[in-house]
Amino acid sequence: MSNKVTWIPIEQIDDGMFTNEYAVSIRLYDGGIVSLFVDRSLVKEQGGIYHLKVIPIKMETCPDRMKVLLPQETFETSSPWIDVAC
Amino acid sequence: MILSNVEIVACLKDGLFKIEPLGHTDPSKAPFNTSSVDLKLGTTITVPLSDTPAQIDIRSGGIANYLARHSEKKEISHDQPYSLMAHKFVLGTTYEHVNFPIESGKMCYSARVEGRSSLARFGILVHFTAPTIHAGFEGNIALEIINLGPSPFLLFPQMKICQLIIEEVRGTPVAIPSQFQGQNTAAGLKSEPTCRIK
Repeated sequence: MSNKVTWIPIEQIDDGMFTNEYAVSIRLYDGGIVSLFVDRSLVKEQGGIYHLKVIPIKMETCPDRMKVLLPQETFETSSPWIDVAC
Repeated sequence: MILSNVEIVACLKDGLFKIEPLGHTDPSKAPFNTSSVDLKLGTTITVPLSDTPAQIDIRSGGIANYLARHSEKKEISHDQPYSLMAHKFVLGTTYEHVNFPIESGKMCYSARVEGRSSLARFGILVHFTAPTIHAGFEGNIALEIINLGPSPFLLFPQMKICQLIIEEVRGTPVAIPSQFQGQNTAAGLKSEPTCRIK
C-alpha cells in the first residue's frame, strides 16, 4: 500500500477464516467496536500491542480524533471510514 | 475503463498494482484473457458451522471474530479436494495475493471478480454478492462459492476459479494530509489501548 499510512491499535485479534488473514476488532472514537478481516501483512505487533495499517484521511476538529480508511468495510457499519482516537 | 491484457501487464511492470504470483507477464498467454486475468483457487476452504445458538446481529461488535470462531478451515490438495455438495455454501480465497494501492499523485485501480462460464455450466457461483475489489485493498480475494447445480463438484487448489477485471479509478479517492506523509510507524499514536491477544 502507500507509504502514506499510519497504524492504529487493534482491540482484539483472532485468526481469520483463512490462514492469510486475521479477524480484528477496532475501537472507535465514540467507544463502539467494529470488526473486519484483514490480510496478515497489514498487521504488526509492537510491544505486545497489535496494530492495523490504515490510510489517514484527516484530523477532525477535535485534536484527539482522526478519520482513517480501513482496508475493507467493517461488518458493523458497512463502511471503510472510521473515526479513531489518536 | 476496463484494462486490456496489454495494459494490465504494463501496470504490473510499473508497480501500479500487484497480482502475485502470476508466473509470467506475457499478455498473450494464460492466465491473461483479452480484458481480464484468470485467478486460481487457494489451498483453504472455510465451511461456516451450523452450531450458532443465536441469530447474527451485525450491529453488535466483533462480528469478524465471531465468524472466524464459528467456521472450520479445511486444507485441500490435489489428492484431497473438497467436494462441494449441491446447494451448499463455502468460502475460498484466490491463490493470488493482490494489492491495489492508493498513493498520492498516482493513478489507482479497482477490480471486479467475475465467475467463469465453464464453472457456471455446472451451477458453481464464486462471487454471488461481493465482486468489487476497492482501491486500497490488499490481500487474497475471498470467494463466496455456492453449488446451485444438481451434482457434487470438486474444488481443488489452483484450479481456475474466477477472473479479475481491472479498471482505472478516475480522480483521487482520498486526500492524504501532509502531516501524515511518510509516517509508517505507530509512533504517531498518542494512546494505545490494551489489546486482547487471541
